[in-house]
Amino acid sequence: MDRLRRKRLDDEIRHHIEERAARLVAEGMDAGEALREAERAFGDVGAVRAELEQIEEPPRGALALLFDRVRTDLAFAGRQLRRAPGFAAVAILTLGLGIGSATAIFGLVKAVVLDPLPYPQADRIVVFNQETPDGLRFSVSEPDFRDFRSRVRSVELLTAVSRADLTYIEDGRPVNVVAMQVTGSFFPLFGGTATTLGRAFTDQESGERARKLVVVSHAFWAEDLGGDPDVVGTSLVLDDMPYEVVGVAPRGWAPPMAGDVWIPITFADPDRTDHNLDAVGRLAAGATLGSASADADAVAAELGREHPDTNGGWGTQLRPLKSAVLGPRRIQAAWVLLGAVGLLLLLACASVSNLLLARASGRGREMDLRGALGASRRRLVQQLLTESSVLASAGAVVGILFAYALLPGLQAMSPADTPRIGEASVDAVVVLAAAAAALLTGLVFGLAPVVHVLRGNRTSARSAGRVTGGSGRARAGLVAAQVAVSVTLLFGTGVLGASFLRLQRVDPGMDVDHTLVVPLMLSGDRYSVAERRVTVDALHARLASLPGVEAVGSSNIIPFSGANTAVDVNVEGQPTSPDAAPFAPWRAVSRTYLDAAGLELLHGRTFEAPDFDEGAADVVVVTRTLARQLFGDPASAVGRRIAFGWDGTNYRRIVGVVSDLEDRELAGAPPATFFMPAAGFMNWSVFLVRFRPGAPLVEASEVRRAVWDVDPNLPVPTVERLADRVGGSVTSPRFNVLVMGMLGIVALVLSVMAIYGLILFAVRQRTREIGVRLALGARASGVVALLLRRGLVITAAGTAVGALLSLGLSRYLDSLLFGEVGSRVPTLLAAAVVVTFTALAATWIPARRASRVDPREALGAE
Amino acid sequence: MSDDTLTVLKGTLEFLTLRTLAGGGEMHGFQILEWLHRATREELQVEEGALYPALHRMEKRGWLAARWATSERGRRAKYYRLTAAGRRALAQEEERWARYVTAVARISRPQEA
Repeated sequence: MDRLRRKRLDDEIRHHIEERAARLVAEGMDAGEALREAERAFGDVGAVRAELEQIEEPPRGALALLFDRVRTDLAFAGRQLRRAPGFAAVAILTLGLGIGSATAIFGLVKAVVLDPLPYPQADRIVVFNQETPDGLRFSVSEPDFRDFRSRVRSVELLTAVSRADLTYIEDGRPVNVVAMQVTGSFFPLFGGTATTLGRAFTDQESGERARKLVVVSHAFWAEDLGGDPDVVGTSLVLDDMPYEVVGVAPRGWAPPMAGDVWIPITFADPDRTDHNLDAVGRLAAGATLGSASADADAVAAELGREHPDTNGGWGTQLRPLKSAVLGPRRIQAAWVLLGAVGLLLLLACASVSNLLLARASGRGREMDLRGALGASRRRLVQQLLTESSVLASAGAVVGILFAYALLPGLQAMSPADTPRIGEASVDAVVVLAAAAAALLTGLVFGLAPVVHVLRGNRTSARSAGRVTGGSGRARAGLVAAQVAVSVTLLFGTGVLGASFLRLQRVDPGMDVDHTLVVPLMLSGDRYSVAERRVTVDALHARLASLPGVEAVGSSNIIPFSGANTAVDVNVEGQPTSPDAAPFAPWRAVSRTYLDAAGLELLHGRTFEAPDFDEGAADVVVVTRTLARQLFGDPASAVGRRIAFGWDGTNYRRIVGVVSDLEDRELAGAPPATFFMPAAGFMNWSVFLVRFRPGAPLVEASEVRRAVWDVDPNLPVPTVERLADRVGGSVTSPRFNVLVMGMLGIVALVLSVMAIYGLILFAVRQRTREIGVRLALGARASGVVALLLRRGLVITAAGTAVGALLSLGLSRYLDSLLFGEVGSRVPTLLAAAVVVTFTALAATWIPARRASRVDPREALGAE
Repeated sequence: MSDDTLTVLKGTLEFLTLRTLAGGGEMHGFQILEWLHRATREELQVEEGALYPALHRMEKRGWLAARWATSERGRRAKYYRLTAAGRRALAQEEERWARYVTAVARISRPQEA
């Protein structure tokens, strides 16, 4: 009833009482007494008022009645749970933990894997690659790109992309600018045509007739160009070359190949063997990935006939953009983690189911009594399900709060290069998913006590005091299932953890704590080979003069950036085939690099100054692993000759063998690398500056000043400690281990609680039986053994199932591992042993208690 | 209160109220009660609050119509009047009462056999 109508009732009653009182006062009564007398004469104000309210209340429909009943049930469930606060707290926390972990992981997976990329028809965008006759994925050459673009009808907006690092002088200081060189279709393909200012450039302005135009990113415009509103039409000087600014990209636009600026790509390279372009496009209307791939392969075959020398046997590979951006490993890792939290959620369900079953057994009498008093079976079931739903809802609330708290931590821990990880949030969809999970779990764990009640009603009150056989078996089965899931999750943790430890132990071969990494880009547009050699030499000298520096060297690869250069090699006098030729990473290095990297000379000599002279004989230094791989005995490598390519003949003499170097990823097995003198041809010179042990590393600004002393126009994008770069390369495995470890521990705790609860409950239920046994002369140790045996049987069954489950799921873990994977049997045994002993400990405590039962009390208990 | 005052039976109060309003005027609860007291010469003992549920029930049934107005003493009060349906109900109730009174009278003064 609404407030106004309630007030009207009060008004009417008060009016009556005041009239009566006024009358009494008129008859000579004292005012206060008159009011009291008037109230007395009226009767019970509250009762009258309640009766009036009931009369006023509109008639109630079926829905309202149902609602009333639900409200009654909810209130009843609330009272029941308040009466057992310990049970309620454990159940809600268990569910909260399960739902919360699942929700947080789902939030991550949704943002990273499930959410569509923010481009028009994003699910139809494909990455277009060429494929070598051996089936390797290759970038696309310029002439091939042009042919594919004009001939492959089922891919539209085919776009070429190539990254360039250019120098922009800002306030007199050189800044490295990442310029994506693209064809004009890049903008419509990734939805970037709605520019903040000006316009994007077109296909006609790029490629064969490319102009010097530039579209700057919103961030670059706002930060580096001061947000100049009149920027369009001005010129931006990059690498000493003026580019006309035609537009500012949309704010927040994030195409997959992100850069500071976009410039029209220039097509000038007629060489079909020069594969240097990334290509992306969109499936044309009506085309599928399959039909487009067939179309592209047909064009590739045409090109093979037209240019047999360069394109014979070459094909194409088309992949959806999302899987190309994420990589198959990441996608599989996401599903593995999601599967693991799914298992945990099931485990939480089983735990709560078990708790409810225990309660249901204890409430047998209550249920029988209420049945006897006329409650229909349907009504009892309804009430039990309401209770489960209340638990599930509370669990969902706790879980969502938990997920809110957990998500930022997971994001912080997760690998920094995970795309879109920052966008993960507990949004509406994630909350809905949590609610759905809660509803489902509520139904699942709510079923057990319902089945129990239905069966219990049949067996009637006779068995009320004893645990019924059926529910005892059900509970044991649930506990066994929990044990199985625990073993599986712990096994997963163990495998990942072992692999992670192996990774931590890997020695990169360098003194990571005392070395700075300074990557410098001396681009081919700005430096001739001769200029580059002079500049790099001067940089070596200047950086070596910094205080505390012990050695300075440079190579062509930024360590632990994922970048790599590698070729097939063959050994002189040992003919090989394309399939059998060793594929070896190579590094073009300065004379002092091997020293700066801290590599140890094992045989022969390191590089010497004459090796770097023009016209000097080609020499290489190999690592121990490559030497062993090629020649068996590393010492015998010195003096032998190797050449690039499986059939190459330009042989280079091996002058030395050094210790192993790991500069790409810590994979466990050191790569078989070789080194050759950098002759000034490489754009990148990545400096390693190693300091004396104990000497403090100099500030980044000091390093920058030193570089600019040599060349004031050279950008210094980063100055990093090598150890930090290595650390970054292990965040991905660390994340997987931490998440799996967390899930495994939670799983173990839940199972231990469950098994403890089960045995404790059995002890309570069987107090009388135990008392009889003790009275008949059974020894206390016998009783303990009996209960331990019961715990052991359940644990053993669960462990066996868990072991089978682990072995079955084991291969899905491969995506999360690195390096060679050893036998997993020891890990599995360890997981089984941990779970079994923890479970037995959990059995021991209540079992001991049982053995102290006083037979007289026990027999008197019923 | 004296023991020999009549206690109003449930249902009777409704009939008496309808009778009271049969004159055609509008009255608020207190007036109705006062009128009843006077008409029954103070013989009728009603717990005053009991009147209101009866009024509201009859209003719900459509026998009475009500509106809020200012009383002669300048107070806001709820005034009730009889509707056409109320008048028909009163006629039926009167007939029922007549039968009831006859029956009770017959039992009180047993006829000779």
